[in-house]
Amino acid sequence: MKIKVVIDRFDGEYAVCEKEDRSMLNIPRSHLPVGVKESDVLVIEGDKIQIEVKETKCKKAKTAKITKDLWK
Amino acid sequence: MNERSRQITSIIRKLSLFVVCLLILVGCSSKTSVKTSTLPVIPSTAVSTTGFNTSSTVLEVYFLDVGQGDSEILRYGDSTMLIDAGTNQSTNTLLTDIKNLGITKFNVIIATHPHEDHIGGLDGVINLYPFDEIFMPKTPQVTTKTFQDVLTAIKNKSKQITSPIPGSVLNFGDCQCTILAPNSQNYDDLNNYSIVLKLVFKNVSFLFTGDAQVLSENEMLAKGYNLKADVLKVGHHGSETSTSLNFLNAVAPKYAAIEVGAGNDYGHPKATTLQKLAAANVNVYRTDLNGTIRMFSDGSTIQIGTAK
Repeated sequence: MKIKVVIDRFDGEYAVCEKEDRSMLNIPRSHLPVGVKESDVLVIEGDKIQIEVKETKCKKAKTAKITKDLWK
Repeated sequence: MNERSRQITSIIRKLSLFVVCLLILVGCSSKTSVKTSTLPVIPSTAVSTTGFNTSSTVLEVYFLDVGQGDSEILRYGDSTMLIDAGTNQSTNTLLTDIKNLGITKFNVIIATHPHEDHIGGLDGVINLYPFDEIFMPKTPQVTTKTFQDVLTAIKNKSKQITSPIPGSVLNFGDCQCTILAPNSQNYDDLNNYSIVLKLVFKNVSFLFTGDAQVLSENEMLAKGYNLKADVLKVGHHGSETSTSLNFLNAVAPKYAAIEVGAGNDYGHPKATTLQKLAAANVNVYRTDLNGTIRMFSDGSTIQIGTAK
């Protein structure tokens, strides 16, 4: 089963990730690919975790669209 | 007057004397800390002069127990402010607290930075309550649904977000609120974008720090801001990444509030932070141990009550 999450933040030993239903999931940093950053989208399949570069870009574009002219 | 009436009159006199003595005692001490579980921690209307030897408006500050997240509510007469909105999971708790406080709108909302443990309930609040102004730091594109939902909620209310400008002052009743951070445009860690707010009410002051880390603390020190505050909302749930000794010495608080979840996975608050606070003789209140913490002030004294 594939789970898609977004890294919200890093706290202690964990990356605190957001699932698509906005529930949160702690993933040990040691299980993550090297170089992961906040806001990266990850796909978890079994014990394999990968960064979804395209999906990350897509979500960033969505945020950019919503934030357009939102700040004074 | 019969014997029974005389006895009652005598008891009333003794009680009155006791109350007067108590008021004198309270009035004499510069800061009063009352830890109690008998009074309701969240009153349904603005507090007037309860317990204070004054006729002026009382400032109410609530450090809400929202688990492993931050949320503070401030009220001064009709003026209300929300600083952060807890986690996604604590949204219902936050909405219940706001309802129980009898709040119907917010004059100011501050989302210190866009992490889920600070903005989780914010879209819920914005969807339910009108507000005048919202402050959020301009950050790189955050991709969580939590953040996008907050932005959409603001957009749906046809509101715009104000960027925090350090040194700028926002009015909140008779309190002076000054934004002290963030002092840079770009940080690697979203925590350092945290809006830091200092509130001064007559002779009493509070410092709300969000998750600002040592980097941001050093920037505030370098800017020469007056960081001195009676109450410090400890940065980043008591993590060792905040509350550097230099910063703590500059704030020199009498009281500290740590908003932290019981048995959290991150080891917050860290022993090193607690040791620094203890060495500085700071009275520490924690939402994991004390539940919601409320602080009432008349501008010269602070009364502290906790839910447990």
